[in-house]
Amino acid sequence: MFVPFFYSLLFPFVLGYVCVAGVFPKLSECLKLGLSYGFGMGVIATWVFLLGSVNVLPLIWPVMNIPLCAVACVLFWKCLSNVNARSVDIQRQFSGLEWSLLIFIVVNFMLVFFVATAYSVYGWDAIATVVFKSKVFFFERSFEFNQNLPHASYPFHVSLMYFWIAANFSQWNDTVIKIVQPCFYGSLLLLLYGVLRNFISRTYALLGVGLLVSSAFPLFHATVAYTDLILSYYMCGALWILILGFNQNKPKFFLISGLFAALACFVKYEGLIGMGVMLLLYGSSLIRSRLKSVFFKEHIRNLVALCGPAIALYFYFTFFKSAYGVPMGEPGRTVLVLSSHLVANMIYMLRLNVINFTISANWGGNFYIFFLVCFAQFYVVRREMSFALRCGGLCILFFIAAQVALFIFTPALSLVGRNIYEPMSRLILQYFPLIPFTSAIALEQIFLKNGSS
Amino acid sequence: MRFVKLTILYVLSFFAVAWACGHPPLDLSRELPVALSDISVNRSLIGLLPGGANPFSILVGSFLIGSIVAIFLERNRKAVLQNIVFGLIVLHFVFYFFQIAGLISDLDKDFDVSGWRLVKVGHYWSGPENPKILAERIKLILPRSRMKLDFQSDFPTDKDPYFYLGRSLAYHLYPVDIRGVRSGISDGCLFLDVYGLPGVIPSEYKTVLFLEKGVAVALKEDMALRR
Repeated sequence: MFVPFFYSLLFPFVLGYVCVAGVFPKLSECLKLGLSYGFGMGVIATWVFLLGSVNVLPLIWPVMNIPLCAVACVLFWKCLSNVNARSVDIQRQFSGLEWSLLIFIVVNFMLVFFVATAYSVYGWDAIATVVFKSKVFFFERSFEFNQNLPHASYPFHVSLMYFWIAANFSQWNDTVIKIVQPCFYGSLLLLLYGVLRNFISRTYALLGVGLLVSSAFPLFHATVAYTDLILSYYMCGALWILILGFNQNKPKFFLISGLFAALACFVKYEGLIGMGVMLLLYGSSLIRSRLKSVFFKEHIRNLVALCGPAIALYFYFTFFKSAYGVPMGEPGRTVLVLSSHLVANMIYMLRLNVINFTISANWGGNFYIFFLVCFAQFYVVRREMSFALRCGGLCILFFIAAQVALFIFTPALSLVGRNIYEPMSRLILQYFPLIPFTSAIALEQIFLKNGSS
Repeated sequence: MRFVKLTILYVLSFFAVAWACGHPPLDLSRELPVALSDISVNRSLIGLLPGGANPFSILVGSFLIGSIVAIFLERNRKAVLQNIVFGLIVLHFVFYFFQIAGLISDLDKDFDVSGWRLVKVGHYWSGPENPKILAERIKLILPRSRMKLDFQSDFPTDKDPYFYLGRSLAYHLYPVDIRGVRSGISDGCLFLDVYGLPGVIPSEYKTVLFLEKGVAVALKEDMALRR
């Protein structure tokens, strides 16, 4: 029991770490660790998907794990040769505030891990779709019946992750499969810290992570088998790495960003929103001339790195759906509609967004802090906004606009009806980590006379 | 030192405003966690305090009062801004501590921390009508672990809570398939709260499980004989 448990827990980390460190040896350790689990699980889920689509799932354990272990070993060898290039983030002693924040974050993470592994699978989407799919894959060892499953056309990255965990145990366990959730939550925290450290000092980076941890809704979602937090990790990860790529002028980062965006699209259709926001951010950075010195050929290469993985995965998924007789979309759901109440619906959605930001217990005071620091940045401090801050703010605006558009141009509003307020919290969760990210950068600019970046 | 003073100022203003609203600190430490513990997969709601006060109004009120005091204490415009932002962060964390206290106390109702085990299985484990327990009982009497059953119910299983009940039962029963995942002919039928139950079971089926609430499992004759 313990061997498969630790294997399921650690192998994605190891695989992801050696992949990231093998290709990008000069990334900071926190960033590598933050990317590891998501990247490793992405590789595993995609590999399982490829195997399943050619119907070799019955041989799952050896066929699935031995090639992955071989890849991990080869890349580990490469990592060893780059061991001197590693950087360590402990340049000075932790202050009292930093220790307090660190302890606060660790204690909360431990609580999340405890709760996630204490309760069995529950909750509507988990029982009815996400985990049900993986349970069917586990017992049937085939994607043959996929067309009979609920939301058959939806991407199933998360279901494949649960399936992989259960396959390692050779039995279905409702509780153990949920170790994925706290691992993604921990990775999100590490990734946020790693990215923030590239822009601001350690104290403010820890404060940013503390702000994310102190929001009840993401914390709760780290304990249930839902897809939104995982989507949030991939979408925000893709955007953060893109911003980092711009900031450090390293187009090589765009490939990680593109891979994360592709995985986001494979988690949920809403991942396409993240993809769109990423392209808008790239476009707006061109306008702001961050990459003005880059030649046209390089722009094409960057765009291929950003969109290529998602397009490749999309085409393979489309091929899979046609081969297995799965409908391309959900009838009555994944269609475009033009409502006659366009403006009224838009105002209604914006109002609901504001209500959710301000008077729900989902986010604590995070949106208040965000609005206050934005106000302070514009009207009081009046220092030129840092690049990362501009990008963070733009992404949040793009997300709000895209999600309002989602409800205006699809039947979602009429399907959900009066209960619209409820799924909206989950939509906001998908980009919520950008709020503490942006707030932390702005906070340093407000509190320090000579803010970095 | 300045930030320590500010922390004390904003925390005190929080409790002062709550007291002014009729919630002394000791009562507040009991009532506020309860008001903030209503969380589900779709949203986290703010409940009202016993007197009808909204916890967010206490938060906003204490922020305003704390900020007014902070403005009087500091003349430098930039420092005032820093004080206000810092105060909001302090209140955010105070709010969170109450919220997490509520969530942990809610957790404590389901979980025996000292014994490391679930003590109340009804809420999280099973959902309405205890489908997990029902599924385990049904699985025990079936001759094979992989079967396909038709599902009949008088419950409106296209509406909650029965919608959840149907899906949850299907999830917990699998690999016994009641959602039509596998193709082929069914091996029997699962009846869930069907009116006039013994009468509606087809004659070629043999009842293998009959429970109080009109729950029954009937299998085709050849399948029932394999038990």
